[in-house]
Amino acid sequence: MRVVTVLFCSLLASLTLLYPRPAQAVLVRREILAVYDGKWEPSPSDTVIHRLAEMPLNYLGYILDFYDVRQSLPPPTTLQRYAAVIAWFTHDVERPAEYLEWAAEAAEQGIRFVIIGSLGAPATSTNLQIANRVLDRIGVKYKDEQVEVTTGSRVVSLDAHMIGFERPLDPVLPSYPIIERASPNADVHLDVEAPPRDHRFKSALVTTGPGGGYVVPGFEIYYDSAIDRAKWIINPFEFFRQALGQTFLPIPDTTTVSGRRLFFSQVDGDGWNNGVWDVSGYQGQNMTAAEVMLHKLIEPYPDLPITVGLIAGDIDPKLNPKAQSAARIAREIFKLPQVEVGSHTYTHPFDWKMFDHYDPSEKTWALDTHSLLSAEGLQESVTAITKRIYAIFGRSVEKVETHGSGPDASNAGMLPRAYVQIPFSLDTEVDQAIAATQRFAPAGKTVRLYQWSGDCFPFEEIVERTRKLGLRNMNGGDSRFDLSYPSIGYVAPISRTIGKQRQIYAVNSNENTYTDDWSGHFGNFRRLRETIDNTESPLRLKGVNVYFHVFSAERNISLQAIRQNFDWARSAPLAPIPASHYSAIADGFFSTKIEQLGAQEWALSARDGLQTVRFDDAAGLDLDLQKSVGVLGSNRVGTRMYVALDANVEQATVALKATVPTSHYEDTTSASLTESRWRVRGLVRKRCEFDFQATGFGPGQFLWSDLPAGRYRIEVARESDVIWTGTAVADADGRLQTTIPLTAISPLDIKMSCADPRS
Amino acid sequence: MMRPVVSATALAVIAVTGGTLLMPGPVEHVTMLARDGKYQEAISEAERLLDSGHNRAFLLKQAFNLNYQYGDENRAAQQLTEYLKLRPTDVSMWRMAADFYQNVDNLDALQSSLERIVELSGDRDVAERLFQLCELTGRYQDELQFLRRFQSVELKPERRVRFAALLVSVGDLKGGAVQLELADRTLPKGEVAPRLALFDVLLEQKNFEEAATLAEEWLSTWNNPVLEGHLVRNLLLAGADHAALRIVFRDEASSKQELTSLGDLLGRDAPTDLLRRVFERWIQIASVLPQGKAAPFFDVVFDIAIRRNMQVDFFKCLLSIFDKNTSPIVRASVAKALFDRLGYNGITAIRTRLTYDVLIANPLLGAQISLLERNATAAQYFLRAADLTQFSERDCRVWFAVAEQILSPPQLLDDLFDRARAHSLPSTLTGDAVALARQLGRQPQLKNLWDSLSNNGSIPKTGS
Repeated sequence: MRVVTVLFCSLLASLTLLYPRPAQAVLVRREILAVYDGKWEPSPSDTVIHRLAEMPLNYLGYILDFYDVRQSLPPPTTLQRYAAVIAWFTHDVERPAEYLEWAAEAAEQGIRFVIIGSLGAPATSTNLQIANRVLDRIGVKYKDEQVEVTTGSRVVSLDAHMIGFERPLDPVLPSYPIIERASPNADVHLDVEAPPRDHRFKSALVTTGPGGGYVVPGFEIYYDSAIDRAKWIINPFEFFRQALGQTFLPIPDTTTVSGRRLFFSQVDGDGWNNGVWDVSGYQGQNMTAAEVMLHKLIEPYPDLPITVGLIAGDIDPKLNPKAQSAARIAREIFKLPQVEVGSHTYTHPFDWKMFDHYDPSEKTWALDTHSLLSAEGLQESVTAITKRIYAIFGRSVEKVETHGSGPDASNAGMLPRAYVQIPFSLDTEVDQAIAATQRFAPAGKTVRLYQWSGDCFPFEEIVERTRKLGLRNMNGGDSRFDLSYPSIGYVAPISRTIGKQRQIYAVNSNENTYTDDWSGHFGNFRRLRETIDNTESPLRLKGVNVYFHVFSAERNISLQAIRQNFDWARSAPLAPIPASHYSAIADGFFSTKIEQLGAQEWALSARDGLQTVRFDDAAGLDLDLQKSVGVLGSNRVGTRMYVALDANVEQATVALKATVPTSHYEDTTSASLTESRWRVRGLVRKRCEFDFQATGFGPGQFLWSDLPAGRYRIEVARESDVIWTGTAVADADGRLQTTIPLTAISPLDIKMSCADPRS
Repeated sequence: MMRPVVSATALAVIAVTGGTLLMPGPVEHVTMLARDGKYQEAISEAERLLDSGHNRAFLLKQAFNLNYQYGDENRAAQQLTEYLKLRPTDVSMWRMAADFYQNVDNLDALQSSLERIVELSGDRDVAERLFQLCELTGRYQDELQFLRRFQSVELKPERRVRFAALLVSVGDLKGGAVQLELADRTLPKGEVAPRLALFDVLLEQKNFEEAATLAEEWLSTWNNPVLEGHLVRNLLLAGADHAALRIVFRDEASSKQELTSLGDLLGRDAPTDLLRRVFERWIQIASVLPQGKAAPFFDVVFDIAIRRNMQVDFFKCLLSIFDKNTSPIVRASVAKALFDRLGYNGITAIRTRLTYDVLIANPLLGAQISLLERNATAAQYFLRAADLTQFSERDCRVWFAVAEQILSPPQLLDDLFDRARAHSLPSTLTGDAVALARQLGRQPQLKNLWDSLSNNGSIPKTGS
């Protein structure tokens, strides 16, 4: 009988493993089809959707799948996997009727449409008739009327949560069409009455409804072309949330680790061999910027991880006469425990697009090399070409500073690559760069991150190459949010899509945008704090990233700017991680699958490096640890709840329950991580003990909650050897705060057990 | 022995004096420290000197610069404030202040600095930056206040338009109109939106005549029926019927397209009362035009009437004008409009009053009525009396159709030949003349006529 029982239990257990979730598990749709017109916006990263809408959509957990409407449009029946279609056209599309007809069919099949600004079609009666089939599902419809002169218009109703987000509604309204409310289900967020001469028609200018959302052109953002600055008029977070009909969900979060805002830092190798300008104690000693960086920016901050991206050309004697000393410094830097080894390419391309499908036999290579070999002759043409390219990008451009550098750097800022002596190839730029860099890394450290150089617009093939080598990648994005860039519109999304590949953007801009591309205001990188503050509150849009170039170490003022940022970071309640780890988190944002298991229960899998999900408006809710699996704990910022997941658990389950005020905890099976400086994984809760592994930088600050009050013994081991013990006390509210004064760059096993006998 | 001592003493005195003179003063010392890259020492020295009461303004400026670039921004801000209290009219320092406040994210102080620069220097570019800043950040009240204060700086036309719109938004129509009129003088002729705004502001102020005068001027450049329709409609809606129709009939040049566009606009949404007024005024004016010019106006009004189901109003209006007006031209025009749309039944009620002088004012109508009344002689008379050069193409076709019923083919061809010789055969009918000549075998006669007229260069080539 016992055998039968055991067999039966085993069978049951096997079945449970095979079918761990109830049959009604529903995959949460996170993808949005972003339609754009490649005629006017040649690639996804050129689109206004990418530049303005993708970040808020990422914040809400959505992933954009870009689609050029010049291709044959996908059959509406294939769109069911998308949460919605978003359109934000800058011009009318080439075949407007065809596009509108497709949109109408899709809308009629229940696909949500989020339309910002132009419909993508001229406002002819026929087009409007088709467009109204889409708008009808949102709950509005076009009347064939336009209010050209808006003086005398009257705002009938304005939803203050939606309108005036970064700029109040202008008393001088732009021209607007008459959009009638067609359904009581439509939420009209801005309702305007036309002037008497236009018959006082009411127009719903910003609306969300069951079929999506629509904002009339001119009411989504304000753009001042004279100063090239934009601000949102609508609240994009609210607008998208409502237009997409987002329900209460765990949102994959790329800002937070172990309950704390994440921090990372990376440096690009530009200016490695540059001389020192005015750093006291280093002037006139034949020292390089890399050495100053080592001594002033890396060594003094063992508690802050930094990823150093070496340009392999800098340590190649064939390319750089200073290679030997450069390599010596690289070796010294890489051996520091807080340093992660990165690659900043081999020849440092400035203009990546030029090398997409690059044929060395063609004139591009000739141009590339001749500009070095006969700088006098072709320099002018190269300069003109690269300047034009940079002007099109309109972005900051990495430069190799000329001060005290080798001969190759004298006109590097004008060349397509810093080292043009050898032809461009994927193999050199990626594989050989990694191999060359790896030679200077100490045993046990491998190159983890590929840091894009120059304009940071890599092409698909090269991103794929880095992925094949198992590297994470990063850079680009240039996020700023301060008085000079006064909008969340200047905060980049998580990534850039290039074909089937994904480039991970840096979280913050480097010093180039603060220093007019390293031409003045060298101390301005201090202002990074404004962006850091503005992207924390009222919404935590980004983690903290201090990203700079080696050349910042050659001037005292720029050096001090970075030190100020580091000094602040080391004292702030952050969770420092290596840059490659952030990149893994960002990759995880896109891979994470969410399945709804119950009203307040979700399964999360394929998370890669991402171990935090966020719940917005989580007031009155708490984690249900009894039902949850692989959940470390939670922390709150306002009404938002950040839930930390256990990286050791492949498929985590997050369950919530209504908050029940509790002051007494029976045992430590309810232990919940509120926040920690170190990353925690492998948490095992027992009745009077909880164990976990931890990795991190700086002292191990922890705050645990929901523990029985009393003293706890802390035992820390590395590879089975106990290296530290201590005690900590959980207060009457069940909160235990402690700091373990060790370094955990290599993982530690931590056991926290009840020190007092329990009754 | 004494000489070397004196010389040495003199040299020593000179050396000490020279050395003293050449020794850097404390203020210069700060400059030298900064020049040598010893910024922290320079800042400390400058602040030490400030505490001991040295050359305050200069040192404050130096300390601010050093702190801004290399030191503590809060201290820089204090030193800047103190300096500007001492030297409140130092424009260059206010400019530096603007740069500083921009960099330290202090919007209020940045705005105040820009304001002060404009006050002191009237710098147009800085004024524009100030306005832009307010507009971008949504500080509309400040923006308006600055525009009012600094309007004497030469505002860009676009800024002036914005200024006007802000004035109008707070109910200052008069001020808005003034600014828009100024902008009207400088904006490119093709710029439409601000002019439409000016037009509407003038209407709001009941300044119809000026609005209409400007509209006529603009339309001569724009040549855009939709815009004309817009202006006319707004005038009509404002109750300025006279001014509106002045535009419509401004030089009898309104094209069919313009009229149709206006008709579309009115037919779509104009209130019924307004339409009745339009019908009356429009018909009154159209009825004094020559037949060829009047027809399109009647067409448009009638189209509107049909669209809005106001045919009865239209006909009542025509009859009323007929009754009130004794001019044969007007009566003929009105009767033609009725006849064209309702046939003979349309004129039954007024037939007795369609006397000879009325019918001869519109001979085509006379011919049509005579034909229906089987009075061939009268019909022939009116047909021949018609001056086809004044006819529209459509009326020419009607005339020819009537003529074919009244005249025999040779008579008709003779009539056409006569008109050709008198250079009064419209090109519309030359093809008919050729066809008729072929039909009657009179091509040689036609050829002779053609050649003689061609030699005079007075007949168009038809190609038939």
